[in-house]
Amino acid sequence: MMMKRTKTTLKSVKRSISMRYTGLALVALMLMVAGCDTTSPSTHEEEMIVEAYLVAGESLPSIWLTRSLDIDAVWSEQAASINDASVRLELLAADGSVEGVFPYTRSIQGSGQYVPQDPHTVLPQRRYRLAADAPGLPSITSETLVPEQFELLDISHSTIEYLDPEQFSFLVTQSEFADRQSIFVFTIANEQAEADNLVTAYVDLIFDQDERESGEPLVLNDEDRLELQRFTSPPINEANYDVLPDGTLRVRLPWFAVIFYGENEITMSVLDDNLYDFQRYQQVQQNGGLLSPGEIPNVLDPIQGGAGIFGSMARVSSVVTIVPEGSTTGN
Amino acid sequence: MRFFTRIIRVPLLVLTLLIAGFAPSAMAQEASISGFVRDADTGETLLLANVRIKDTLIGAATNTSGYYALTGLEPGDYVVQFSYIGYQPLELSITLAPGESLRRDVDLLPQEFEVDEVVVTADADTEEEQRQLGVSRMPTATIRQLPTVLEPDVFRSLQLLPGVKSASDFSSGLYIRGGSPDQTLILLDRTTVYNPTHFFGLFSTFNPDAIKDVRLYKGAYGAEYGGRIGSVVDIYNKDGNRRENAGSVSVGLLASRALVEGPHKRGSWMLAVRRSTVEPLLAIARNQDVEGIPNTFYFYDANGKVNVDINQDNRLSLSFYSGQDVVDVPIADQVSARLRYGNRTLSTNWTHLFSDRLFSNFTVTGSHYFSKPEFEFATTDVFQTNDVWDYSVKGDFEYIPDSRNQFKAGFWMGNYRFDFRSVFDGLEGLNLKTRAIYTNLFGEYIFRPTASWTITSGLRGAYFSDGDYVRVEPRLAVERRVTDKLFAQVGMGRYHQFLTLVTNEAFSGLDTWLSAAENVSPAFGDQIVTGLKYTSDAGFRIEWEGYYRTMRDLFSLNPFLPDVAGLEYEELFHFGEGYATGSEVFIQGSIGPFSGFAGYTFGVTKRRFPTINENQYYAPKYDRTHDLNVTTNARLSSKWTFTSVFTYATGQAYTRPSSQYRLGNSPFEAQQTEVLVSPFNGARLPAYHRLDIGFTRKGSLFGAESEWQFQVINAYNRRNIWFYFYEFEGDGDVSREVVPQIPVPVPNISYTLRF
Repeated sequence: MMMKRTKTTLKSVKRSISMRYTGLALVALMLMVAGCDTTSPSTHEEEMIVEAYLVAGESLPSIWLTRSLDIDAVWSEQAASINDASVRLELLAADGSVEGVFPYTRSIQGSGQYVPQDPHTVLPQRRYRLAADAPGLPSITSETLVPEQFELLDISHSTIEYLDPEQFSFLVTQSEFADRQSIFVFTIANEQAEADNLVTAYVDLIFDQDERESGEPLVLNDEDRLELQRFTSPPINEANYDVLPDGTLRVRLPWFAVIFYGENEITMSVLDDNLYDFQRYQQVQQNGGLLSPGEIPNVLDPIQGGAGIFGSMARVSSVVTIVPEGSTTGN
Repeated sequence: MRFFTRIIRVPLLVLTLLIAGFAPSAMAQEASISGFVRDADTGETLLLANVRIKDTLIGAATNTSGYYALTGLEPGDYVVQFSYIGYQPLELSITLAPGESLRRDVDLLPQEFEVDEVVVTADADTEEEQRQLGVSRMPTATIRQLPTVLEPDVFRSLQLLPGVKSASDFSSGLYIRGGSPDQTLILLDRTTVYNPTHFFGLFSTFNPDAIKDVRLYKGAYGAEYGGRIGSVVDIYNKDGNRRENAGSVSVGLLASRALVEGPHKRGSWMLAVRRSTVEPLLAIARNQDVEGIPNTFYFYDANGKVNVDINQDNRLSLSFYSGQDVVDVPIADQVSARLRYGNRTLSTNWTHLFSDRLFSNFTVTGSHYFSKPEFEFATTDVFQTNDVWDYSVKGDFEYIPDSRNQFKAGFWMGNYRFDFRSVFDGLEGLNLKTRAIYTNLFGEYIFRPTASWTITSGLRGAYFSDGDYVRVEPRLAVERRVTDKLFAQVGMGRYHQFLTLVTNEAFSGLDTWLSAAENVSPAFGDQIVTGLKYTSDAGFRIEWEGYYRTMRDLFSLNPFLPDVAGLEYEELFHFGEGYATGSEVFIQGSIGPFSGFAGYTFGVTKRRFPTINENQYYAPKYDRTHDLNVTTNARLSSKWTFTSVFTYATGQAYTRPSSQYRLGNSPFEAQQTEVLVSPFNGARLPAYHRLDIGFTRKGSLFGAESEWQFQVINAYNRRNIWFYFYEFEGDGDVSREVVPQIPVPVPNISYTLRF
């Protein structure tokens, strides 16, 4: 009897312990479920993606339409392009009414490309609206206010030695934009983007020591060439530059922006809000900035119903020849 | 200025009344005992030591100067018990005559065998009435003994406490109860330290050899502290050995340390220095033509303190800290980067006893933080200078008329100066110069209506001249002694913050402080904390705390501004809010040769800003739902000790892209513009876990104590993930690269000699 009671007691104790552990496990499980992943996994929703850049004083641009793809999908122009959309641009009056309509048709040159049916020069300080519809996707709309045109009055050099303390500079008129200061970006493009033409600093940055000292000719791979042949600064505020007494701006080109010797086309662009937002957010998305590593913000885009960029700018360009240090220079 | 005068006049009048009216002669028939509690070996004052009348509930804890006072006692015979963790308790038999004010400075003998134990004290170690909600102390002996990356580190040790999280293996920043590092006030000898990091954030600036006491106020802290909406870390340098000259030398892989201290005719002195010692390794790497090795890289810090006992009632001290990190990296031909950043602090402290009942402390502080990064690329020079100067005067008064009533009051006023200048290729893009006067006044009343209840009510007022902000912060804490072993507590308060930190989790060398101003309101938050603290007969301590806190009017530099030239000051910021809630459990105890502590936190932290996640709440990266730390210590023999730290935490929030698109016709770049679409921080990394172990061997060398430490960080080679990096590939794929935390077991060895 005593033995039996003991066994019973042990069994009940075991059961009790077992129940306690089960309870604890359940509590732990609940905590895990409730607390471990309080955030939901991401899901892809297909969107129409637009790409269009209006330039004050230039003809209406092409418009490209693609679709967003799942992060795990393999992107290709063919898979992404939208070829059966109806697209139009509208020129808006100051009161928001439609002053002109510019229908677009699909281009035969490229998939997803649409071109204007009628010629039109983009008007500065005017508002344009884009509207596009494609089967199976939400319609998109977007608006842009085109910046005021500005003029290139003078350049300091047509040819300049690399690292010349005088630096290459533009003299430009100011460009007013709504109620904020102008935002510039500078683009430097070189058609001879080859390793032979790289300035010293970039040779060191792109090729490691073994490659430099191998005695073999240095060759840029396609990815590097694409990245370097057209290089654009981050958005720069007008307040960085001194306004001369006659109201013009003298803008110097920092030497770090020069990647290749030879003929460089330098373009100074004034951005509308859409391009400014898109550029600054996209750069943070790529580089992180002040956000913690692994935090990737979405790009701030101006497209209702979709994504991408529909923006406008005013721009001026000039060509300067950069020659290596110690070469003969002529202004 | 008139307002400024008015705002300080009232509390000064109150303080004067306190001093003149109550101080020496109140309750003429009642007696008291007061004095300082010190380490018998070194003469160091002991902070928060327990003082108690035996067989009663009358007791107190020493304050931040090591002073205690038991007042309002009936004349008669008493046995006074003094205790402090790691020291032998002491009983003192006294006889108090009517009206007698007995002064007894007491020396406690260290319990040598306990010094090696890994201990953390949550305020008073057992039964003390001065126990406060959310307060933890980290003994420096523990800090020195815990396995750690390269250097023993105060902040990394604090990260083992429940409610305190780290951002990564590479950051010593304190993320306390959902707050970012700038929400924690860091004080060294009552002086604010603005960038407490070395090695760009890898570990903190505080040399454990030089430190006497580290206290962490995790939340709902009392009215005597302010200026941050989250927490306070209050660190005190050693006073220096008052008995004999002593010192220690320690050689480690990254840095070496030396400490000398000793007595002088009227007090003591201490000097501790630490400097990195990696230059020989760098020189070898340079000789091997390894690219990217810095031309210059070092850091140093120095702590010093001199104490002068003018007489029994007046003590003076002067302490300083100076630390700096310097790096100069040649990145490529014509491309180089240089950075110099550091802190300097100086404080003079006068402790004055107006009477046994009225204790006062006056401090004059100066703090300077600087950061000067410079980058040169093909003669294009880019540099920033960021300086913060903070000069202040503070005074604290503590009046203890009897065992039931205690009053605290004080002021802290000073002058901030922030200079931030940014120059690109000779063009000055930003030149901010902020000057602000700040004034803080507080009063606190601690009322013990019965032996079981303690009610602490306080009020703090803050004035910040840039923007003319006046803010009032009520504080309240209630404690109930349920049994001799069980305490229940609740505390709450409002907190304001006039500063914000521009920083990057991965790199603290460019840290920049900005302040509230007109159109940039100070941040504020409310906190409520409740807790239970239980001590078993066997000495095990079990504590639970739950908290909820809000963060409102958070202002921080808008991360999406590529250029700030020409913007109005308020346009530099984005404004947001957040909240945090959680539950913490802390267990500490010892069995035979084993001792240790464990902390578990369940926490939720959310924030939102209009520029991020469409103004919807998101979990910041440092949010960890579950966080467990277990620290153990085993005395293997009289010479060998084993220590381990195990950490487990829910994976951090990160952004997992769901969609992609590419734009191929940009006028600004020849390659495609690549864009990800993602729910911001909508996913979690795999769980984080890591084990660090260490062995300590004690010995002697030429009669001096010596100590070898052998440690392995990440002992079982866990490959924790820091973050994912997504890259668009030319073939149309988006690849995901893992960037790991400490990816391999990292050994560490150090040798210390104490003489």
